[in-house]
Amino acid sequence: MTLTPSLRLAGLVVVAVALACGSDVRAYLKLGSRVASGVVQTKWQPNQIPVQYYVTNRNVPGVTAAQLQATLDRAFGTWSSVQTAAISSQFVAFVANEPGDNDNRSVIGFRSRPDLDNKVLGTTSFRLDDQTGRIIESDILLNAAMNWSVAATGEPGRYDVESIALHEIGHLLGLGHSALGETELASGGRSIRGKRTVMFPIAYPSGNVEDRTLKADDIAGISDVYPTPAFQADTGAVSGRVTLNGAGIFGAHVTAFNLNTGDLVGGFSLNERGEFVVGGLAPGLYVVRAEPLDDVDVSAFFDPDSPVTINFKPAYYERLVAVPAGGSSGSIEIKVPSK
Amino acid sequence: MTMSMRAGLIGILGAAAILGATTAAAFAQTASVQLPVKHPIELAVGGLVSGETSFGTKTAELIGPDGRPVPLFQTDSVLRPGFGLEAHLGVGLSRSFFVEASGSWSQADFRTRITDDIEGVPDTTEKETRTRYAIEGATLWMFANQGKVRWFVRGSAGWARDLTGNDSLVEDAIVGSVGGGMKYLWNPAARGFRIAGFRVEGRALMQKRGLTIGEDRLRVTPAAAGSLIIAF
Repeated sequence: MTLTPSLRLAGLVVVAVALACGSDVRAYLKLGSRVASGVVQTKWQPNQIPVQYYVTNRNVPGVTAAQLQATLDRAFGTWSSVQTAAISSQFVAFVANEPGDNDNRSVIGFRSRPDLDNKVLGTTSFRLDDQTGRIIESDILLNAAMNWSVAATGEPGRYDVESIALHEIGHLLGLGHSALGETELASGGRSIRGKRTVMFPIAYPSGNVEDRTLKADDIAGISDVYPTPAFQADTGAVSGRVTLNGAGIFGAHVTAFNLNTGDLVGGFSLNERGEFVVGGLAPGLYVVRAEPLDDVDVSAFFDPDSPVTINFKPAYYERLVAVPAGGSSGSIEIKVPSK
Repeated sequence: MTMSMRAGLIGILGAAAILGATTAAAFAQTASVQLPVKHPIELAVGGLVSGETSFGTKTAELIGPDGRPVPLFQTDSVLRPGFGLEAHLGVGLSRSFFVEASGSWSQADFRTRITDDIEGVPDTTEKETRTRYAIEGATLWMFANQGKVRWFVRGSAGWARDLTGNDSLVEDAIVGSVGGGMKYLWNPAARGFRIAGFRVEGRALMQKRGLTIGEDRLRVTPAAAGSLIIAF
């Protein structure tokens, strides 16, 4: 089987890629920005919900603006259907504005951007209040240079708009990337071996529609950003540290595997003490595994100057971990060996 | 029943050594037991040992570009043999039927073996201890008497609370059992009890819900129990 390199879903044009420098060690990567008072989580405020969005009135081969809007409506609806997240959206109108314009509107559409390399399918950008970090607008650009499709079951050689939109809307709602995937080197970059999250930074190949469905990791992430009371009461967390030779390490990818459901939820150690919290977990027994972030560019997850450690081998926590509803496992220490 | 038959019976039923020693001494002292005709009350205290329960394998999977699963690692989980303490308070409704209320405490370890890691992490085994408190109601039918020995079958149903992870994870279960065994009773009048003895039995423990691994379905675990009895 010949694997072709998958296309990258571009990173975000936001000041900080992750809320990595604050005291919050909730491990699902959320977007944040630095303001005068420190790092502020990038999310829609209650009075901005439902999130209002506009669609650029432009067709591309294979997809009309109306089809794009209908597809976006489904993708937003998929996020809104998460019962443990209090988020919704509303389409306002077709506009001539382009994504990326500073127009105080959140605009989604196809656009040609010659500066994007030919591997970028879409990007999400934000304009924020530099005093408060409040979102003013967030635009999603779908690269018009690519071949797109809205066919119900996908179309060979064309990227599925709904799948890519679901990923980008995740960013628009405040989620960073998830590392719940494995890649392998291929000509021209890395190609995907498998993933279990829509928010992995590398997309499936063209024709694939798997990413129209949110996975447990995505649901935990969006619920962490917009939690309902039920989410906080009914789910729990694994918390602790990842250490190498006794010292905490930043940027270790931690995965919690639910032995009952088979669900996987990932997160990161987010400070130099190696502390992490993987939240949004159904109560039960878990296998917890830590690994270095070596499948994709570190810059897809963290600020370039973040002290991410990747010089260690994957390891499991030495015991099963019990996660209670509405609480935490208690602090565990995952000791990883050096490479 | 001859002494050799009695000794063989005790061996077969797997009574604890201390029980065997006690009853062997008692054989020589008491020729027969006069069981109360109506409403005897029995208190039994003892221990139980449960067998292993397999939960099978489960694989942590990614989804590949072709839609096929990409295994990250595989798990194989069991609930290891456990032990516990139990008490029964019973009352006879007739010569043949007893009803009893039972309470128990038991512990067993979940054990999960992790293999086939996608990045070559060596196989490893992890565990976590489950503590269970259970309350049950039971019915006993004494279907045969042989001197001091009364053979019975027993069925029970009740509720259990499972705890693990420093008691932070709590799950409730519906539990029950079917089984059978024997009571050996005698009259130690000199010791102030009307009747004393012991019982040993085998059971098939059943549970639904509770702290488990994998799909929620009825699970059956073999167990053996032994108790000392005093009756009034």
